Amino acid sequence: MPPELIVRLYNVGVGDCIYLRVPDKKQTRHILIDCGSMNRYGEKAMERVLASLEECLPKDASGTPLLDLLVITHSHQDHMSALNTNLEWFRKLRIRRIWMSAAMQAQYAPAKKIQALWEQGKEVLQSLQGLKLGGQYDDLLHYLSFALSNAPALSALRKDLKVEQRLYLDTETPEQSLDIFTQPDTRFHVLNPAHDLDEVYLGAFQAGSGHGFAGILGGKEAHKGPEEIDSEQLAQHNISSGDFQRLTEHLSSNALGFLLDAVEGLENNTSLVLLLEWHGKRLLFAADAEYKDSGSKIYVSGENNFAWNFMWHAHRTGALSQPLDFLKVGHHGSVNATPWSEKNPPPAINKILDTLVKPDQRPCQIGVSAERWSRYQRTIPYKALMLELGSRAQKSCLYEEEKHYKKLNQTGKQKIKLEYCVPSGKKQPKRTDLNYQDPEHVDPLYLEFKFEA
Amino acid sequence: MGDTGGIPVSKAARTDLYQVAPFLGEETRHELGIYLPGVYIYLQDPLVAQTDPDVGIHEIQIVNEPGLSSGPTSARWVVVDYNADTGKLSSGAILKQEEGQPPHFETPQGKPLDKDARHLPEFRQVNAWAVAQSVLDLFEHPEALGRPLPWGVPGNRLIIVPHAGYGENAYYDRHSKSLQFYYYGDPKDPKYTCLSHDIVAHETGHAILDGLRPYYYNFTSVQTAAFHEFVADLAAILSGLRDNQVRLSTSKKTGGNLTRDNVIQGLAEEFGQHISGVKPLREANNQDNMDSIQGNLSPHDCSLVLTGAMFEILTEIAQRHLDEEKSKSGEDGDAHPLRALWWATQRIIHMALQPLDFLPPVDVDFVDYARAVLQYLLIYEPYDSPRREFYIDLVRRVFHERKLCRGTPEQCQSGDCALESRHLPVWDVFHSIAHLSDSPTAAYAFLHDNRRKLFIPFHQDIRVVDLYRTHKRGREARRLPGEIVLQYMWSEDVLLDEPRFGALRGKKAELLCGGTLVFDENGNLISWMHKPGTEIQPNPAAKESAAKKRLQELYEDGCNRRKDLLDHIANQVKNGLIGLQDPHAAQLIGPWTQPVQALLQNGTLHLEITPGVRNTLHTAPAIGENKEGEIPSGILNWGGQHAA
Repeated sequence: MPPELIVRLYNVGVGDCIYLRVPDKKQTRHILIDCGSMNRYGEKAMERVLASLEECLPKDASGTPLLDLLVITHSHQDHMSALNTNLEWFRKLRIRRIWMSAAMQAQYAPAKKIQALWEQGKEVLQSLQGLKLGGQYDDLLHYLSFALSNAPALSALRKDLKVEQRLYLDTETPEQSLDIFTQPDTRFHVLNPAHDLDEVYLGAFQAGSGHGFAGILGGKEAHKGPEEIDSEQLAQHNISSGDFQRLTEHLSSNALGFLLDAVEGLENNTSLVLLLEWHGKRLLFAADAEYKDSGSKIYVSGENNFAWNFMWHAHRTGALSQPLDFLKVGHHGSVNATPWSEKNPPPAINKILDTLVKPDQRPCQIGVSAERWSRYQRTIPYKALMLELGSRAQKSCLYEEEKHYKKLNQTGKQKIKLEYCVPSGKKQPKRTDLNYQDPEHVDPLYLEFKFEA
Repeated sequence: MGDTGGIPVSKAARTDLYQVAPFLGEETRHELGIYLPGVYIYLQDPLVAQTDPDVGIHEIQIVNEPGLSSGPTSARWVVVDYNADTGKLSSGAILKQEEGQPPHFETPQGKPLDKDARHLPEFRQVNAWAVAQSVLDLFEHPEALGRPLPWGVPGNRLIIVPHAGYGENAYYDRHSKSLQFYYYGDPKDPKYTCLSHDIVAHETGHAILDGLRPYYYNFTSVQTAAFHEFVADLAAILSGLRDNQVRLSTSKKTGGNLTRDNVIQGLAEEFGQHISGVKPLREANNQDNMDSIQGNLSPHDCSLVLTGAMFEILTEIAQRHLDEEKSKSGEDGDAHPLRALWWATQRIIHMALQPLDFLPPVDVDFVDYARAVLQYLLIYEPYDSPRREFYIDLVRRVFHERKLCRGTPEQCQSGDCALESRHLPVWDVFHSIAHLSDSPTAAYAFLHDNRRKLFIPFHQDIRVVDLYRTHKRGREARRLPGEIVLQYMWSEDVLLDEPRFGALRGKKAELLCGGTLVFDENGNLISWMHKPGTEIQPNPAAKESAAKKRLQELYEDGCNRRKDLLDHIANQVKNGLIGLQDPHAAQLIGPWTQPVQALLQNGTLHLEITPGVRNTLHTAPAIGENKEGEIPSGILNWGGQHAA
């Protein structure tokens, strides 16, 4: 029996940990794409995952596990937390290559504006510690605050871990750099990010926008304010200090809102998206690439484009012109990541999924690494998307999601609204959090997909 | 000196002239230099100016107030050039005043703010101020509302921020007493919303309506929010039409037929081009009706029904005048369209703005406005006017075609028409108009004495929202009878006790009730538009009478309003549009901000459209349906970006 290509999606809650075993002539390549969890997978829980992974890896003469390639798609907690919590495990491996998104390269010229914005966002976040923003932004700050604690992982990836090759990839990375396979029809393609990061993902958005607002949120102390303006100066501008303070609070809030939005979205949209071709099979790993529905237009030069909008623009006649054999659904099945909308009439962006997942032309296995974490349960994974993908996927599943989360709710630890769950009797793509119902499921720790040459 | 004319006078003489200006004719004002010279604005926006130099940069007439100062700062506005992106407060345009010379604005370096200064920040400061002031002048003019108009904020001077920061946005924000204008596009060569006449006029329109009817800021229904958008767009259309140069260009291009492409019917051309690639942002010349907006939750979209209706009325009035002009012999044919447009402009200003005083203080809907316009014509269009029937028939027809009344022609002819005003009460206790208009408290005494006739529950405390007099002029500048307008309101608590209210379940909402009484100078009641509640019920045992039937109708109206309010809130919840606002938290406005903010005050829920979303020129975002009716927590509601 010829060797199979295996893709495992580990169940890490809201996060990604994807192991690939790729037959390559007489050898086998072992690849790990991301290793992180957003919610309840701390050091101990991740140990089980890493132990399982370790069993898959070959050992050298000294017993050191060998990993051919570690890919970190972007620097979000749910994609790299294990490099913070379980860094020692990675240190004991012999990792041949580390590939990261070009946007993760420190002081990278084509991402100068984006990185300035991130730095600004982090500064703001630090200045906002303990400050209540209210409503929807508390959630955002909660999430973005992870970005502040990623420093050890980033340092390990960028320099501390000893590797033979360390690459920051974009669509203009030379093909020979990606040539890690000996089999001629086996190769990775970088679909995202673009080389001109600022130009594609930021467009005319002004880095530096938002400067000066941190100090005046609600007039809180210990924040750097706008330039010092005393009441005498204000009188010359015909405005009282009270009116001016109120005004600047509101103006600043606006700028902050846009800044925080930009900071969070840019990380996802500059994530590394890879297409693996193997013996004619096409496997897409969508990372957290987001899409923007702009009606009839998909890509607008000079605007802040989203990842899928760029990828379609750049690869629609190339790497994305043919249907896939496997889609690792992006962003944990979120409403904003897979380029499909239930809107009627369908927006232009839908043509991307219609091209890539075409069951009548090519069976496509689909996997989702997700969990209905209460904080994001409405849109991760997104019910309508799950139903749509379930109708297209090869080997889709009839999960009893409602029952599963109802049972978890009874423990008192979860508060999942069952209305967000796909009802029993409706097909879904394979999901890491529901694999107990999968007849092919072997281990509750992961979902496995197999491909023959 | 600019082409506004004027003769050199001393400062003291200018003050004297300012005092007597209301008694002077337009030509005399011009000759005497009542207007400030050298105030230049974009008549539309920089994009239109490029494509149509006729409506490029022109001088505008702004009255030279004695208290005018640098900034500009005038009685009702102060320009504060604070940029939130840079944290910098920049100096404003300098008002240069030399004895014997008319004052004018210039840069701190002494450069005049004429066409050549269009790239300078001081030009933009003056542009935004001048457009805002001219829109306020339009609304306060005797041809419109005929009185100084209050703001909906404490104080009497609104702040204009011409360069508020980077963003595709501009809005009126009641909470910071400001009109904020952002800039967008290429950071090296941004486009400024403060240079768009339509955007500045639109935001000024919001501010003016907030002063006229402050409770319309409460998001009690989509139509109430849409009415805000309508008045804001109307401000932009009428302000544009009022300009001689814009009318001249429009008449040249359209021959007086406003259904042809023109700058009046297109709103925010440059911004629209940027957002959609198709200009303009909104079209007044449309065929939208109540059916086509059914289920649409976007106030901007819904407002187009009224905007389209009034634009159609304007178009037909212009056509009528054009036909009349053409039928006159011996006239210069080229003059017809311009004169027709002038007449039509005068009439549409009367017909669109003067009825605003009739509107109820709360929860306005489109039918209220249609009814007010019709009522206005029935009262004020003289019986000897050759066009009375034309106007009345036109308004009835247009509003029926837009499906604001769904009655058949037969029903409407028999008097059962939604657009016809209802009967006026006969008072239980008479108060002289002189007495009741003395003060809000005197007005309250009148209301209290006539609670029964006004269907105000006895246990409810009445708020006098406003009390004022008007000094309006009608056709051919004839003085209309002075009006005394009294707005009052109260509210009923409504418990949100169903699962469909999600996180709002168990909270209370307010059913706003009240009315507007308009008296003439002699105390005759000429209009009463009101919103009943549910707390006065007809006594089933009472004998059948017209009064009992009337009470039954009002009670049913109140119950329907209560149901509509509950459905409205549930609908907003279901669609994930509401964000809970923390009164102790800093307010944020950004792409993740919900378009509706719910604020809990003493256990009662207040819904407001988020300022940057209410007035931004964006259309509503894509919204994921939230079927189980929960108020989604935070950022996920937007249906777009979210973390993880």
